[in-house]
Amino acid sequence: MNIDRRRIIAPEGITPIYPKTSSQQSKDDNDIKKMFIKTGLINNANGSSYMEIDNNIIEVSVFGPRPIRGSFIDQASVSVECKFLPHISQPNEGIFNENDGKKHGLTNIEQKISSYVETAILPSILLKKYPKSTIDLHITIIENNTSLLNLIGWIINCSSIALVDAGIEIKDIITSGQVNLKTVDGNESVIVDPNDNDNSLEVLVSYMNLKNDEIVGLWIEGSNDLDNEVLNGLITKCNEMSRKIRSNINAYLLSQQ
Amino acid sequence: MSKVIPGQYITPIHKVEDGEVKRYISGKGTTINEIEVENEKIPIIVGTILGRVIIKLTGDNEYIVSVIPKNQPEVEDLKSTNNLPKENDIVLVRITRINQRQANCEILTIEGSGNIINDSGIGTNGELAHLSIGYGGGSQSLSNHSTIASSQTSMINAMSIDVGENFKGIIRSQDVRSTERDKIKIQECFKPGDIVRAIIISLGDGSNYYLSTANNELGVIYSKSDGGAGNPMFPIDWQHMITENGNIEMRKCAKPLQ
Repeated sequence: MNIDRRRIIAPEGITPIYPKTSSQQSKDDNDIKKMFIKTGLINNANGSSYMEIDNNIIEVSVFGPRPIRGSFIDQASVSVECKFLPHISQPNEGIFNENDGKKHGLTNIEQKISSYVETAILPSILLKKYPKSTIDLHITIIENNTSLLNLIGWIINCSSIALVDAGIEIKDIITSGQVNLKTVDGNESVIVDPNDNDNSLEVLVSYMNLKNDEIVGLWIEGSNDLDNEVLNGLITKCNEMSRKIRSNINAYLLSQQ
Repeated sequence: MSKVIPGQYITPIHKVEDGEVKRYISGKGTTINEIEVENEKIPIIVGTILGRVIIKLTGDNEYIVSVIPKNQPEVEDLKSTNNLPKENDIVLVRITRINQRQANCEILTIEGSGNIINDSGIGTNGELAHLSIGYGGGSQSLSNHSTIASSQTSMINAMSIDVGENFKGIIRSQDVRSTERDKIKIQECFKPGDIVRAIIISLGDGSNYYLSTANNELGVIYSKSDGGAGNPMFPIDWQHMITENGNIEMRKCAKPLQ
C-alpha cells in the first residue's frame, strides 16, 4: 500500500481551522451601533478619547493650547490631522487614493476627513480665549469596517469628547447623525447608522444639539434626485441620531467627574 | 455645587427671583449662547468645560457664574476666562538666557490661577508623532502645505521649532526697575536659572510676552550662586543676595513676602 510515511496524516472528515473573523453585529435599521468610550488614555496629550463603535475603533488626541512662534495672532489656530493605521484599508480607497506609493503626507481620503472635521469642530471652539496658541487634533483610525460618511460621523463624536477631556472651552459638544436612503424596486427605506453604503444615498449631518440644533456640517453622497421633503426627513433622522448619541456622551462625561 | 458639561444651560443672564431682578455674569469656564425659546432668542449662560458650577454674589443682586474643572481647587480669580497669561498678571518665570539688552525667560505659573498648561511632552516631536507632521508640531509648522490637512485658521508663519512648549517672555533692561533705567546691567540683575516674579506688561509679539520687574515686590525670588552650581541665596538688600557661606552676588531682588 502506498502510504505517505513522511507526513502526519490528519484524520478523515475534518475541516481546516480559520481564525474567527470579527462579525458585524446585526442591528435593526433604526438602531444606533453600540459604543464604548474611554477618555484620557494618551498620557502625553492634553486630552484624548478612545471609542469602539461596533467593530470600528477611533482614537483622538488633543494637543494644546500650545504657544506659537512667529508673528502675533489674537486667537488660536486649529489643525486637524487624520491618519489610518498603515494596515487598515480606507473606505473607497480604490477610487480616491492614487497609488503612488508615497509614505509621507495624507492620502486624499484622510485629507477629506480632516477638512470635514475641522469645518464642523471650529464653530464650537472659543478661539478668542486662546491668543498666541495652537490646538492640534490628531485622529487615528485603528479599525474600520464601515462606510466613509458613517466613519466621519463617529470621528466627529470622538473628537468632541477629546476636546472636552482636554478642557478646551467649547460652546457646545458637536455630535453627528448619519442615515442612508435605500431604494429597492422603487420603495424607499431609511437606514439609521448603516454599516455600508450599498449604492444608497448617504447623508451625514453634524449638530450643536444644545445650541438650537445648529447644523455645523453637512455631507450628502449619492446620485438620487432629492426633493425638499425627503431631504428634510433625512436631516431630521440625522438629528434624532445625533441627539441620542449626545445624551449618551453626556451621561458618560457626567459619570467621569 | 452641581456638575455641568459643555453646552449645558446654567442660568439666563437676567432672572426674577422673589420680586427682584438678579443679574448673572459669565465668568471662568462659561460663555453666553443665544437659545431660542418660543421663537425668542434668550441669552443664557452655558458651561464650556466639564466641571462644577460656582455662583458667587459680587454686588447688589449681581452674581458671577463660573465653572471649575474637577481636581482643581477653587481659584481667587473667577473672572478671567482661561489659564493663558494676559496683561497685568503676576507670573513666575525661569530665566533661560540673558544678553545686554534683555533677559529671556519661560513662564511657569500665574499667581492666582495655577499652572498654565501641562507640558504635552514628546507628543508631536518624538518617535510617536504621526509621520506626516513635520518636526516641531502640527499647525505650527506650515512651511509645507502638503503635510497639513487643514489650515482654515492657521497662519502661514505660525511656527514652533523648540521642543519645549512653555510660553516665552522677555524682560527688557528698561523694564527691570523703575529708577536709573539707563544704568541697568542685565548680568547684575538676573542669571539663567533664576526664578523671577514679574508682571506681564503686554502680550508682545508672536514669540514672547513682555514682562517687567519694576516694583519692590517683583524680582528674583529664588537663585543659586555661581551660575546655579552653588547654594541657594537669600536677599540682603534690594540688589544683593548671599549664600550661607557668605558669597555675595548681585540680583534684582524681590521684597521677601511677609
